[in-house]
Amino acid sequence: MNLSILVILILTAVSTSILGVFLVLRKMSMMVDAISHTVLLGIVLAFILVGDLTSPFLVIGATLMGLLTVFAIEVIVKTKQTDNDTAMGLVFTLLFSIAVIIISTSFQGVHLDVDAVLLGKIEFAPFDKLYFNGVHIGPKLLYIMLATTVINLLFVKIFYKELKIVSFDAALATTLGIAPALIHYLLMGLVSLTAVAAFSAVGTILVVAFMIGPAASAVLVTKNLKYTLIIAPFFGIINSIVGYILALLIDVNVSGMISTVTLITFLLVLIFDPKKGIVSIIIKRKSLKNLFDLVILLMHLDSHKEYEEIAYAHIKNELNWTTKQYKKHTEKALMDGYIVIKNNQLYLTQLGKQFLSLKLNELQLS
Amino acid sequence: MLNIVANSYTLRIVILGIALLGVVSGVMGVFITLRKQSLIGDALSHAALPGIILAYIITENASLYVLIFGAFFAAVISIVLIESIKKYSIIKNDALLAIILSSMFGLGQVLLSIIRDTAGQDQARLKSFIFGQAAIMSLKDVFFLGIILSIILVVVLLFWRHLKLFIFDRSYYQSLGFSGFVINIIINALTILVVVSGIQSVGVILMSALLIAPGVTARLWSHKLSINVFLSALIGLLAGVLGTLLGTNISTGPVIVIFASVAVFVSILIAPKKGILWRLLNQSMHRYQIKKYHLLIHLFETDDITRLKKKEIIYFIKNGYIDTKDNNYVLTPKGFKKVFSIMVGDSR
Repeated sequence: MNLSILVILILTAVSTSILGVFLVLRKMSMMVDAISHTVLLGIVLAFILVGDLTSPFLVIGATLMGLLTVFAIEVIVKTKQTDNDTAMGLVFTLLFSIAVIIISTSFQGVHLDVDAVLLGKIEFAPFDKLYFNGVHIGPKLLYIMLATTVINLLFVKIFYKELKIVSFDAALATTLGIAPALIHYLLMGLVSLTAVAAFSAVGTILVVAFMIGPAASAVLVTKNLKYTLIIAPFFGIINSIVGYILALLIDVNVSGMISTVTLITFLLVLIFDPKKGIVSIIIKRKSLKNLFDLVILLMHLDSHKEYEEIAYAHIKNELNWTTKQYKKHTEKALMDGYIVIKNNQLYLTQLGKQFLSLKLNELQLS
Repeated sequence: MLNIVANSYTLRIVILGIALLGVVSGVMGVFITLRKQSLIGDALSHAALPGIILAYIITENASLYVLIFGAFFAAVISIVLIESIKKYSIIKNDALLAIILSSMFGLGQVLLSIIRDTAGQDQARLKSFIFGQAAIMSLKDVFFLGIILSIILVVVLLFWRHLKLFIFDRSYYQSLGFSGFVINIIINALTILVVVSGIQSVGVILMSALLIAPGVTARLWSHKLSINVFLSALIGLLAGVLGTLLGTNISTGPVIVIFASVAVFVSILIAPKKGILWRLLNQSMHRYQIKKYHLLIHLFETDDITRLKKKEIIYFIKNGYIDTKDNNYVLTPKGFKKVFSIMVGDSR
């Protein structure tokens, strides 16, 4: 186990997931996928200009290309000929194709491996050392991720109010004098920057899981934006630690393992979350359905006149229920004392009438 | 260029295969873009990767049939996950696509790294699915693609009316007593078929472009679904063939995507009625018409001729737009028609 790799992974998880929250809330998750592919073209073009793979201009070029992608998608959507998803799919595949063609035709001797860009090479990060005054102070990637994390945290801290209003009510933001477009492009610029920084760690495709997975899980858990912003990095850190340990244990690709774990935690939260989880939703829907059926039975009895047929078997036919369903609900009503059976006839009790009017009020059916 | 094609048996096979693929993805692309599900292809192609590798791990067989079966299986699981999660939670489509796409691809990487020491030669073949490699296509693969193409075409033709009605007016379709659920499954199954049969030659990343670009282009040129499908298939075929011819030395996938993208962007510019240039031209012509005939419109609105200059009156009379009657000028039927046509925005 290499501690510096783990720290890099944790920093990547924090810096990506905190931006991811806003992308999930603004329904722009697939934009990360688009941006993380097109930054490759930015790197390629910047490399053609400066001719140095370690130059910081590469990061600037990539960030600009990310912003250009967002802008191009918006321009195409504005022509009203395609929807947002289509525009996204068109723009990023084109820009990515151009990058791949440039790499495969003119970069034969250069060490810019598309495979490494797509998948990341976190395992080799410790070998790329950073020296300060000739002293080895740790892997370079560690400092890059640290800087990105600090920038992203500061951005969210400083623009918290603006981000919140723009994400939930863009029209209100405009009337309050906050420029939604400015905040939007700042956010997208940071997403591009983070995607570039993170892809040397985890690769362009898996950065999507890092950004969106923890954020979507956090959105499931809480409705409060502040808590979401705390829970999302927390999920990201847990995914990274668990994924890294598992990857070491069974000797597989680290970033791939972490994104698999991300999917698993997301599914677990989705299924078992006490409030909005699938299990609790199914239980809730089931109990609500039972309540409705009971209310329907009582209502039916309530509306019956004295002289009408109220035999046990007859009511079942009138409601058109299955035997099992009918038996279950009448037994429940009998047990709770809402109905009584006399001479095989069903009668609504006083308690049943009270319960019915109470529930009808609650369900606003009366 | 044609010389190479005539002489190279492999290249002919590859071109035939890609042409088939272009037609199939063109046909399905129309339905996918109309349903606004453009990114589903992207998600499914990425999500197919673990299925491909798992199929190889289980069978230790790297033939196309086995791998495509694995891809199909993984894609089905992904689409079921996406649709059922959408039903039960507040998480929106985009976030779901992103998570499934990326995590399934990650799982694929994990599986790939498990077999990195044992797979040997086959590993290169498995990795070729990421970027696609048209050159390794064999005659058998082309047959296989041909079968898939026929299945898709037959199903589309059989369910033509259902597909059309379902896509354009889902609630009406269901009110007629048909099951939206079944037709949804059919569309999804066909989409998965196209995606998994294409990733070998175009790659998981660029498959989505081949799926959406022809559909969008066709949509810009025609309003009729049947013409759309035909055009889209043609564009897919052309992009595929041209891309393969020019991309023999470099990766085929990206070149195909560039051809398909050029078709889209050129169409967005020049397509009749919907293209940007066309609309700009229309606007300026309309503006010119209003300028030229604004006094005619003025006469139509107010019966007031004091603002008409002599030159214009002569011009309008000469062209039969106005007439003299009881010492006054009135619009002729032709004049009325002209004013109406300008008012509804007709620029000619």
